[in-house]
Amino acid sequence: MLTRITTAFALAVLLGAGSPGLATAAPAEAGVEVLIIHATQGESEMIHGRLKSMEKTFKRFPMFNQFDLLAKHDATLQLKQPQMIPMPNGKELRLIYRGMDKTGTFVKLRFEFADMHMNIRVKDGGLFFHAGSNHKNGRLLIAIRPSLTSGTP
Amino acid sequence: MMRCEEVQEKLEAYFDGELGPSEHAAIEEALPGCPECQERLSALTSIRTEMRASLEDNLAEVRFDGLWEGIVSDIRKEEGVQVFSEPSPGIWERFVGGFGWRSLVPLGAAALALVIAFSGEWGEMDGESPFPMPQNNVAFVSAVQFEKGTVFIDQDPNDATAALIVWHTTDES
Repeated sequence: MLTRITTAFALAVLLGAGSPGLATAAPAEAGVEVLIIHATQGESEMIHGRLKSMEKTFKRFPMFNQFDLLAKHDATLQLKQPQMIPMPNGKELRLIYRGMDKTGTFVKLRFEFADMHMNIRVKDGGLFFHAGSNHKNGRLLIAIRPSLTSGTP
Repeated sequence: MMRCEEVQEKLEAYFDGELGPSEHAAIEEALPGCPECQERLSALTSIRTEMRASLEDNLAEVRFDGLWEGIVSDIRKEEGVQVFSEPSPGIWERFVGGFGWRSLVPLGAAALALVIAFSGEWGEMDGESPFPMPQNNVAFVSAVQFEKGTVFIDQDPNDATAALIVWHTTDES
């Protein structure tokens, strides 16, 4: 009985692996752009020059009107290898590239920061924000944009 | 007694509830003697209040009929997941702050954004997103795990190119 189950399992694995369209080979690495933004409330609106393209997104943070770019990291993530990115508040962001989803559309990322861990799926070139940590009378926004074409999206 | 500089250094961690009991108590003790620390703490509270008010405004504009019924059918109901099927006064208070179980609440908004909030000790749900969010968009969350606080997922269902925003707050009030 055990042999039959084992054989059936092995056949299923072999057939699955050989089926076109089911297994999408993930690139061995993915570029990722990480922007560390400090969002605060001030007397007048201010958006860092390199963040102007995100102005529409910043409207979704109505409690802030100033967005300063504190740091920018361009990293190349190796498949399933954690990469640590230092944050201005002394903590570290841990990012892991987990390959592509079944459709080959989304880059799978693991995001670990403080006590929050997330699996997120982002389209190549798509933008994801995490807003959480208080920092100097404001919030730290972490903007992440993966890219499969080069290390610098 | 903790010095003001030390208090300020740890104030954000204090505000986020990240300190141990002894450090928490030390800051509580030192705060009355440090006006500057109190001012910074007040600023932190103000930011949180404004954020909450903004989300409450969204909640007030939600038309759950239809929207929620359509969404809820897609939710993978797991043990311990609470689903609120209709708005009620004070619903915000029901899911903010210190639940020992997970809750899942959609906060649609007339202003396009789909806001989802949930809180709890932790949740790990991989595979397809268990959260009622458009998966044609530029990004979505497929699993989330956190120890405390509340997570808000802000995604625009009408603009597939809009960025995904995930808030994680550790409200204590």
